[in-house]
Amino acid sequence: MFDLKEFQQEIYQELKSVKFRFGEDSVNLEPKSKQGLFERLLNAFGDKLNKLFVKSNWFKEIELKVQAIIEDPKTKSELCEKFQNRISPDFFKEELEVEVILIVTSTLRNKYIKENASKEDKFLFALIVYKILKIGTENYCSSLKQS
Amino acid sequence: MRKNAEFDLKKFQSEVFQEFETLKMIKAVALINAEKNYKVKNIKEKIEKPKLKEGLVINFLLKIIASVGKPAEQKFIEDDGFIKNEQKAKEIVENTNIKRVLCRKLKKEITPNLFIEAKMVKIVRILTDSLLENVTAEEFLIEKDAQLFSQMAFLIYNKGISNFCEQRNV
Repeated sequence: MFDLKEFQQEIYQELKSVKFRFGEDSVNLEPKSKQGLFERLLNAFGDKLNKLFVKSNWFKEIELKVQAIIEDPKTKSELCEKFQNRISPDFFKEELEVEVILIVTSTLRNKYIKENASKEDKFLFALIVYKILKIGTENYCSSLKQS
Repeated sequence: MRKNAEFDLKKFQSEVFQEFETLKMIKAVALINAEKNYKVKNIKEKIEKPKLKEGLVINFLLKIIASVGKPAEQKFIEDDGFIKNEQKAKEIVENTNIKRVLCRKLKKEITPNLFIEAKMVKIVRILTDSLLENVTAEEFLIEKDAQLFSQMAFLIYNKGISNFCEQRNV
């Protein structure tokens, strides 16, 4: 049976790896100038892998799917109604991430997940959350206010 | 709350949350190390990974995590500042008046359907909203110290809301 709480937990973890893929929330503990040769080589290798991943066909396909989902007018209007009611400008970074995950998963899971969520489903949802956070919920919903 | 030009509340809350996550990780390493045979079935509930599969590979990985994490864990836990803060955190959250205020909000907002990080976020929000108010902060000499707040958050989280708030008059 589908466990929403467990799914949300997995999306939170997946979001961390998505951010890492895009070069955010890097694990570097030292500034670049203080890194040793091995650390710099390791980071360069990681960057290269991330770039290859972002350029892969698998990723591009999912990214297109994400774009179609978040720009779908009905979906956008459902999400924005909840964002406007539940998200406050006072939220700190992780609080905002958690709230967007709660809203996106509870609103969209019936539409996009049948029984058990696959690895691809989890990545898709994490990428939806990432893209909305990147745009900002206010910006994301601004086109709705105008229309 | 009085406006403080230099104090960035959102940044502080984020720091508290990150310290809280680190603390949870350090305590998980300590739990793995405490289980001498690294048996998955004995620790998976304690480290909040109930679905962790048992087997030689996972067992081996746990050993690596435990041995790599041990020096960091000891450095962290044996630090004087950490010990002092842990004591102070206990005193603050166990104060009857503070506990009453916290529990009223915790019971209302931490629902069983929330996933782990969602609960953690709510605890940080409740703690900072309740204890950074000038009256409370000044009365109990609570410093704006992210580690102190993360220790309070961890104490509450680790006990569980029902255990933490179960005493009479809370």
